[in-house]
Amino acid sequence: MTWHEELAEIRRRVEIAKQMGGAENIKRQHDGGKLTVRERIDRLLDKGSFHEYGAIAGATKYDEEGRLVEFRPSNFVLGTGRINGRRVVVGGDDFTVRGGAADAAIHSKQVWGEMLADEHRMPMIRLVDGSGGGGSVRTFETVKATVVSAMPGFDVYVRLTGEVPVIAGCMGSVAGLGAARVAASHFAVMVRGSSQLFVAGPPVVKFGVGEELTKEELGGSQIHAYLSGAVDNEAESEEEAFAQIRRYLSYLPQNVWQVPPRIEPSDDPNRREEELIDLIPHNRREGYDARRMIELIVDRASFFEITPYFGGSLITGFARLDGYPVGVMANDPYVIGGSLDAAASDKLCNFVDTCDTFHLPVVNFCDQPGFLIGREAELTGTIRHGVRALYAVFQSETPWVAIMVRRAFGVAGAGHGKTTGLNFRYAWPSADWGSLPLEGGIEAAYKRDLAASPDPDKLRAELEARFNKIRSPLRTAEMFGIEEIIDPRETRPLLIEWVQQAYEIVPTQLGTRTRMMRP
Amino acid sequence: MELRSPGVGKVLRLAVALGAQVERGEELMVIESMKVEIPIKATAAGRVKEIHVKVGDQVQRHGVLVKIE
Repeated sequence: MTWHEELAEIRRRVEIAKQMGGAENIKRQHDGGKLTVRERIDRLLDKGSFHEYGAIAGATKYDEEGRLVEFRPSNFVLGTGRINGRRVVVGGDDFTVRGGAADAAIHSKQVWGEMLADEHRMPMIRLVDGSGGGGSVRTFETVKATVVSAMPGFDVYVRLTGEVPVIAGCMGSVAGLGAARVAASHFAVMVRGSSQLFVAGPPVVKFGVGEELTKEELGGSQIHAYLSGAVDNEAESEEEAFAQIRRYLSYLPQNVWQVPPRIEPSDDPNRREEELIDLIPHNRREGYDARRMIELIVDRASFFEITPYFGGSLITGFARLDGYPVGVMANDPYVIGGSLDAAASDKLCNFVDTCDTFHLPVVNFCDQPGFLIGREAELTGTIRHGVRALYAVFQSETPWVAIMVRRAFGVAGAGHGKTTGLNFRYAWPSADWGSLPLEGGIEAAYKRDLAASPDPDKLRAELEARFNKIRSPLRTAEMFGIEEIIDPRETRPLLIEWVQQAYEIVPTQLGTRTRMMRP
Repeated sequence: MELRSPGVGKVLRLAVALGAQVERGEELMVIESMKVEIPIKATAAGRVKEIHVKVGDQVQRHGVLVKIE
């Protein structure tokens, strides 16, 4: 008595499941410039590492003799696999089966995948397509009643972002529940031209608010990677999206109970780049290439920029120092002078929370003129978003170092580190700080004197000259207001000394934070 | 191709005239924002078709500056 027959039946059904929505729907997917879910999983993971769960879950029809006559696999493919040898859970929507909609989904499979990532403490990769298992009005045909809206397993999602890397690929036209599954992540990437993200698509939008927009106009990558920040990165192709997912994951541990993985260092820890000595212009009105600055200091080719096109006055990304992963922030003087606006504040808050969650030490290159000013800045609630960003910095527990590259003014400048504690930092000779910059600060503090003066320009020049005498950071160092001013070329060796210390601290801080982050 | 201001600021200098042929990466104008001079560069080669601002104008984020064809 053996079980060969039963196994053969299972294999037969698995083969049917592998056909997904059938040749015609697969062709339509390919014609749209998109891969199928099984192709995506195959290209994302290490070759041959995919172990599928729930392959034979789906909708079935049996004849009177109890023989299976029809089997439509559920439109969600789930399993574990490896990415550069590391085990992950991966779940992808199958757009070839009912466009990924709820009537062909089996939610418990999707939720089970999240629970697997949660309990087995593995990264969760969501390759979202279509409505991601979300609302299809057609469910009333099977369920025969309406169900109060609920997000199946959302309590697991909420916990998960405090425990393991949760990474989402927005791989097609994603709406509703699918869009939520993209947003509920640490890192989301979408594909330029072939993917869109929206609460609801063009037909519903036209019906509901009267706007007539194409999918791209409503939710393409130029909206979400550039203007809204709903996703982090844009990829030119699906292949590049997978590469970005793999790269993002490489800086993070499997879960918060493990130390972020160090790779074998391949870059001289004592490298001192000459270019750093004149990178920052003496003229305070001139910008410089902040990304070049980062590249000169961190391990060669290790900087991976995250959310590059949104909140552009702040540069965020992962990098390595002597092989150890770190979070890096810097200000871009070429975008609103590097000032923190509402968008950059949100970006900062999210990035710091993510680094803190995974115990990634943070390096903050500070050149901050202060929060953005002006009417649009006020209309966007800059101070509220900005204060929230400061909270994120002050609530973080991960080791932190600031490099005071140039400006540090105002409340935003005060957020360069936890300025009430040790606040470990180094300053460059180009450092220039204060509560208010002199240009403008003099206008504010001496308003009456200037108004009353017979020659305000002369008075202004006198006041500026007087202040400029005490402006040097050396004066601040005299009163131990700054601990150390360094040669910029020394930054890399000093940061490596710091990161080695940081990674002595990190193993003592493992586990979840008391206050888990919100994406 | 439209070039828009990356942020709020004031037009400090114009580097090109109407009809000028520009290279990719060529500086077209400088905006001052938060006391930093921000160069606005052509994202592709072409001819300056329209200039929507003059020196001293205040610009908002995403305000159209220049059109290149």
